[in-house]
Amino acid sequence: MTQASNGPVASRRSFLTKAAAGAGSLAMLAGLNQSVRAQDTSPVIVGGPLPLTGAVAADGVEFKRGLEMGAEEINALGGILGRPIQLAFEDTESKGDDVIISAGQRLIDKHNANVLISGYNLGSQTALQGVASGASLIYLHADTARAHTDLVAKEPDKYWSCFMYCPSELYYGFAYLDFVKHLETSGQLKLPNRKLALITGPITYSINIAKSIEAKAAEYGYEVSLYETVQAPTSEWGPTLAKLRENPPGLIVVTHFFPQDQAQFMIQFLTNPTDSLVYLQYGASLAAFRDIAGDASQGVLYATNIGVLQDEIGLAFTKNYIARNDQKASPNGGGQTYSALHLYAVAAALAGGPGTPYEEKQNRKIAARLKAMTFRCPMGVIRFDQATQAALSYPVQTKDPSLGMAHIFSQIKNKAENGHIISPSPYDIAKFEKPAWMK
Amino acid sequence: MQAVLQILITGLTLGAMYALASVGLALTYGTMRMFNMAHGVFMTVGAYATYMAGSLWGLPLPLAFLFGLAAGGLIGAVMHLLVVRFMLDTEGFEVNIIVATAGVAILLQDLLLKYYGAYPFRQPAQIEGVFRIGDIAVTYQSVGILVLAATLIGGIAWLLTHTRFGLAIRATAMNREAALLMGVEAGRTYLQVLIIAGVLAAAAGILISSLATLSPDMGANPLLRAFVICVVAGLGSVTGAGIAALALGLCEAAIQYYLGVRYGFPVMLLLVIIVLIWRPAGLFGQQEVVRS
Amino acid sequence: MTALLTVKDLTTGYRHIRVLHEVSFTVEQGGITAIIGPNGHGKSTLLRALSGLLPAWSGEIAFDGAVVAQGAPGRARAGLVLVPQGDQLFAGMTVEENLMMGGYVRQDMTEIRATLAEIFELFPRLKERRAQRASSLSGGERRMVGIGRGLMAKAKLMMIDEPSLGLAPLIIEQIYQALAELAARGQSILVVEENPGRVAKVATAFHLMDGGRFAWSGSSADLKQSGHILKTYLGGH
Repeated sequence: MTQASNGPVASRRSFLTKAAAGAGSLAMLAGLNQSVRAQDTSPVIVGGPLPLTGAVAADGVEFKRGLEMGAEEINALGGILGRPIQLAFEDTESKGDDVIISAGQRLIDKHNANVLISGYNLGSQTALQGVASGASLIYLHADTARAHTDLVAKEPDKYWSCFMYCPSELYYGFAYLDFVKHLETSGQLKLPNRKLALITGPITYSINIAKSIEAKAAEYGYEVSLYETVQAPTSEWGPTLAKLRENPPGLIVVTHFFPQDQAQFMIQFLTNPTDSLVYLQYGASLAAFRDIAGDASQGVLYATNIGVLQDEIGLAFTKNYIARNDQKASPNGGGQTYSALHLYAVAAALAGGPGTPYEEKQNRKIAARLKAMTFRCPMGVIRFDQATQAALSYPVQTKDPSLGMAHIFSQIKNKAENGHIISPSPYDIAKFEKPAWMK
Repeated sequence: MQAVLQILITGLTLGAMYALASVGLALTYGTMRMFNMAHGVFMTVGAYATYMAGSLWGLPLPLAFLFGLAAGGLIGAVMHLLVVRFMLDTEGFEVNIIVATAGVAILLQDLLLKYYGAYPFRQPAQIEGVFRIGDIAVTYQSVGILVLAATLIGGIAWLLTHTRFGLAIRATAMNREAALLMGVEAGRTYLQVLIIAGVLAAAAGILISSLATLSPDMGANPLLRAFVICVVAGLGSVTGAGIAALALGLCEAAIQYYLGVRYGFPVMLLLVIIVLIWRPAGLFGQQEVVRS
Repeated sequence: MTALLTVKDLTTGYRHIRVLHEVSFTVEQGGITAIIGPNGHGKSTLLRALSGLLPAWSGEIAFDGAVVAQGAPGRARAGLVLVPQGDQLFAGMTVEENLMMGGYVRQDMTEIRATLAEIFELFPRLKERRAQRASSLSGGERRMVGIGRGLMAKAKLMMIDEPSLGLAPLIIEQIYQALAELAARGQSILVVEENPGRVAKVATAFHLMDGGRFAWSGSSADLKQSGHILKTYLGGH
């Protein structure tokens, strides 16, 4: 049945245990730190060009918290080869390339950052690669952007220092269609029709995902009945909902990803719901979404290709993260930069220490370590594709769950909790349930 | 039919919020010849004050709402006393005040950001539930927004036409020098105007955030729309601003439905340009008369 | 007789241009005082300075036995009221609202209503047009509203800047009849006019302004004897 495509159950527990054992990045770093006697104890400046204000500030705040938590843990172990981590932040204001570039440049010029680590920023998603490569500085981000893979694949000599520690958004398209088809064929979901409504936003990420679903929908036997682009922010969904209600689709996909807008969508959708499976891209994975939508969040399906797993490592991280911050904190956001900082710390320690801006030789050593590592973190596995320097996706790019970052599908079961992972195996902890509004 | 009804509901809800946001701005410009760039952040202040009173202190909703309005009025008063007062009657006032109030806006927004952070908090001012007209579900929240906006705007209109102080405000707006000669202290009138504008802006902020979320920069978008509405209506025309706001709200909802959501604001701006070519002083504005 | 208004060495102007040069004069209680003279010599400036719209550079103004307040609102409250040139009505308000604004400095609503009734008696046209917007009135009607608005303040001294400006002779006659009637009831009035033609028949005291100074002052009897002086200044009237 369903398990056939997802792998045998018996091996799952043992796999998870092994994976957990391999996740000793802290232990590894501690070991490396012990082996050297630090000569240089000056701080390692980790620069965070983050969207701390503006439309996606909810994420920006979590990215900051993730870096802070990671830095605390690493410093408790003696930093990177005896050098403590010191954080510097510059606000990218959820704005375009001009603001992002100047934030990145300030981190280099003013703060003398040893590395740039962000979650995601808006804009063209190629801005900071230019800044970092110009200074031969390591830059780790989770923009989930095809723009990154295109850029690096085309000019590997220029962008050798830029890494995207999550897969690109292209896979969302297949993964979603695969997943829904699987729900249907396995009898977990009965759709009233073959119509699929796509609602996207003004940002490339949202448009690319919507386009990739639109392009493949017919192959999977779905017909795109509505393709609507909304503004950001959008709080009044009336006209869009009117169109949905006039021609009710079996599937609704919202790739416009702002959590507050998605929350309003659900609240307004549920005043008079259609018999449709609702999938919300990314935003619903954040605590802010559940906080705003309240009961209207229950039953919502979302995916993220960089989310905290609900296994031993992931749950431990979630617990610590919430304890350190507050109940409304979103480990899915903070876990990204947290993981990236750990990844960098280990790679830099293995390479003999962090590099400074324009210190190409040392930074190339770190880049080489990053490219060679298979790193287990709360989000799963970070392992970089050699050509694009983007994390590989499981199960789309690799069939081995220990070699790619899981493309997670979750369903919100309860407004007080993160969605439960329902796919892929072996990371799933719950089964898909038909949302209460569906017939 | 269903679509028309839905457009009507969405349009009126949008329009009501735009009206609240615009009327205060129009009143300020009309009386003081002052483009208040801090009007948007007045909305934000009101929204956060209600959030603080409702969610953090646990006050009942009506009290939290009133607290938000009071905060808006207070911030208007403080800005008048600390900034505007000293700039009135100075040379280049109309330009300088734009810069000064923009500065106040940036400062207040930064303070809000420092104090509350950028987390998109949920506005507690919510009325749960829906009722149906035919197949259309109407939220009590939308009805609440309409009723509150109508009550507040109606209340202010009544004050302006039926009270001594309202008469003085209108007199100052129409002819400042003549009002001075009638014994109206312009300084006090301006203070009253900024308090009223602050209260209306706060109400707009609370209602807008109840449909979206709180964020320190939430006032920017509605401020832009309020400016557009005031220009369409004719600068300083208060009634005009209210009517233009409702019209533009309905227009935007219709465009969103028939052309696509993304065209809502751009097409609205296009209409505005057409209106301004046709009537440069705005729909309700008087042509500038060159005085000898 | 006590002086209602005493002005001593009043000097003022606009920006750096001095318009009035140490003007001194008094206005007695009751009757109509006229300031006449060619345009551009400071008559209106004098009224603006007296009303408080224009700050004095130097000099003293005493009104009703006290030094006047700074600023127009304070002087209006003290009963020193200006009916400005060109009426300056509140165009978007009705006739009645305009008149009510005139009573802004007063508190007692019954008294205010009583004054309103008196004004409607004086200018019956205004009663007919009470609900009409000021912007839709004729020139004469506007002037009536302007004067009525001044009366609503229960002014101790009503200063009127060019009551005949821009009006047809017939209307000017009506206006002056009304002013004469008011004066007869004991209202003190200070009128500025370019030419003495109509005002000469009703005023009791005259000042001729020239170059920011009073060139000549006298009673109506004096005026008749000094016709030649006026001719020099006013060019043949």
